[in-house]
Amino acid sequence: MDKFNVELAATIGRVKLKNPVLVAAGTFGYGEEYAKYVDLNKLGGLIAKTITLKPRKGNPPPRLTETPAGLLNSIGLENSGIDSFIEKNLPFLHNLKTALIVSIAGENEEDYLRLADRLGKEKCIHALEVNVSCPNVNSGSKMIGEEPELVFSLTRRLKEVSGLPFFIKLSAQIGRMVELSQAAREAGAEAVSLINSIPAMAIDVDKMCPKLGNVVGGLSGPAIRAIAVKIVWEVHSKVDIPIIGMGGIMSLEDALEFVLAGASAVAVGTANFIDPQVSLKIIDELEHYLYEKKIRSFSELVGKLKTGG
Amino acid sequence: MLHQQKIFSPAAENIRVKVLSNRCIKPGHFRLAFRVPVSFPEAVPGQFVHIKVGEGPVPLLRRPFSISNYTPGKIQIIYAVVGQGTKILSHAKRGDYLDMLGPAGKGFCICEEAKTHLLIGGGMGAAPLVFLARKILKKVKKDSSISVFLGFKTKQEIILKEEFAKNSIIGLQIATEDGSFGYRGLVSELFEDYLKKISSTSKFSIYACGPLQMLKTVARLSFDYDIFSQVSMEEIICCGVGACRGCVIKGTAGYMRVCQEGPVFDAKKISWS
Ligand SMILES: Cc1cc2nc3c(=O)[nH]c(=O)nc-3n(C[C@H](O)[C@H](O)[C@H](O)COP(=O)(O)O)c2cc1C
Ligand code: FES
Repeated sequence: MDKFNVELAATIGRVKLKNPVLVAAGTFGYGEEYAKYVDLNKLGGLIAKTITLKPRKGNPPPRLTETPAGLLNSIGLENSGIDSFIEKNLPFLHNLKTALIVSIAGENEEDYLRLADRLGKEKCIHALEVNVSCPNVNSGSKMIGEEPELVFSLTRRLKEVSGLPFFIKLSAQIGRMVELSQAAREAGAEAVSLINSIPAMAIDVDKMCPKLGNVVGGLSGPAIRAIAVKIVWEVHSKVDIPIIGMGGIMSLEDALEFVLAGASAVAVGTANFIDPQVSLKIIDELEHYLYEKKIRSFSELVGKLKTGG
Repeated sequence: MLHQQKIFSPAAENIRVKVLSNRCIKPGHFRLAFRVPVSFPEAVPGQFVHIKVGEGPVPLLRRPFSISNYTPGKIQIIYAVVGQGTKILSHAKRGDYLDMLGPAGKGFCICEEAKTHLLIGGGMGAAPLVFLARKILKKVKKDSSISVFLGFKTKQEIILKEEFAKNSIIGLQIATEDGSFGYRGLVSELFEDYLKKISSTSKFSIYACGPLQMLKTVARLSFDYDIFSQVSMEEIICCGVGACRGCVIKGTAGYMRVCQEGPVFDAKKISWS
């Protein structure tokens, strides 16, 4: 066979990635924590842990418990707030030679707008991921990510505030994902990130109490993968918007499931905790896979699922 | 009262290590040794290694193990088979490779001005204390003493007695909850009885590792007797590198990460209520 170069580059609307493998929000800190273990510049991109306007203490411990093939977390968006992020974390992230996506969350629309306004002025940020779906924040009111009208209105207003591309990270509202993604698309979002961890809980029957300090949390890891793949496939079939697929990706095969189902890029989350190098391994193996399959460009693979014979 | 001297937290490495031995030391308990490069950062008692025990996805996460000895080129851990992770690890054989991240976290700092070092361990909490006792013996002056208090449920569960007993400088006392060996009762009660008989506790230093309830009592005693104390805390460890914020415990100044600021903390910095 002729030697040919495989093109790994991926496109999410206006955002160009050198390869389609990102690390998911909240699972890679602000990059620096992992810099010693991973060559960050080889990643397709880094989605920094969700930041909020003011510092958040996060939820009471215990914050984690393992379930069969899953991780249940109730971190509660612990972070030091945007000022600290800009002062302490951004200088490090600024020097990376990979796409930087910053995840933001607020208690209301105004919070999101102020975050986008401030971050929009930072030259090194390629896009903002709008976390409207953290299962670990209880603000009393309905989550924006659960209501198509709220998603639409927020995205619209964000676009008025900043020219940065917005990826809307939706929660797994099984059955409403198409509607929600449609709202994001109509309001002009660059992409949707699917999926966030799924609301879940676990009980210690000996102590007769919840295993998490916050009672409920979000489930991630291989346990949610098949659900995530189905959501990606469904949204890709019905809505014309780029998708960043995630949920339980541990290997190239897992990543390819998302891509074939329609994801333009993927994000690795929980797997980073088990093997910090896993994203780089997936990138290497992807290159090899494309070569073996004689596919010149990664983008040809997106949504190439064969159904109905 | 003595104070903590320095925060010791060298950067960990993530490498594949070769198992040198994995021996059953008593039913359900193993001692595993593996080789590390000579260039590997020197491990401190109280630090841990974060090991990927199987191919997954069940169990999913790595498992943290307290280091029970370090010599250049070699690390040892002692563990009890308590769940899926440790069960899989118990099958590791000489020559197998393990994915290991370490030495992680902050260990005990040896209080050099102390004249009396008190080590209190409950159950598997004895494991890092063997390493600590060895380090203290090397580091401190001849006129200082080491007293070790260990607690177990029953005589059958006693571990590492010989390791401590073989050094005549170390005073070892053991408590069993059912009284089948040594003092009948909790190690914290044994320790309290000991303190009651002491006239002065100046230049004392406490190092403790074990169940939360034991640490709570030891911390309270250390406040009552005004002794500087360090406690090794436990929480589920996920990333082990400080990124996920899943391993926090409540401190007097907010949440603290067991994998970074700990596992060993100044007992004063922990919110015990
Ligand atoms: C410990 C932990 C913390 C997370 N924190 C965030 C976060 O801050 N913001 C966010 O949008 N998603 C967060 N997530 C969700 C992940 O980004 C991802 O959407 C989800 O875990 C599914 O992917 P995975 O199964 O590969 O982990 C978190 C997940 C975990 C496990
Ligand atoms: S285990 Fe992730 S921060 Fe400690």
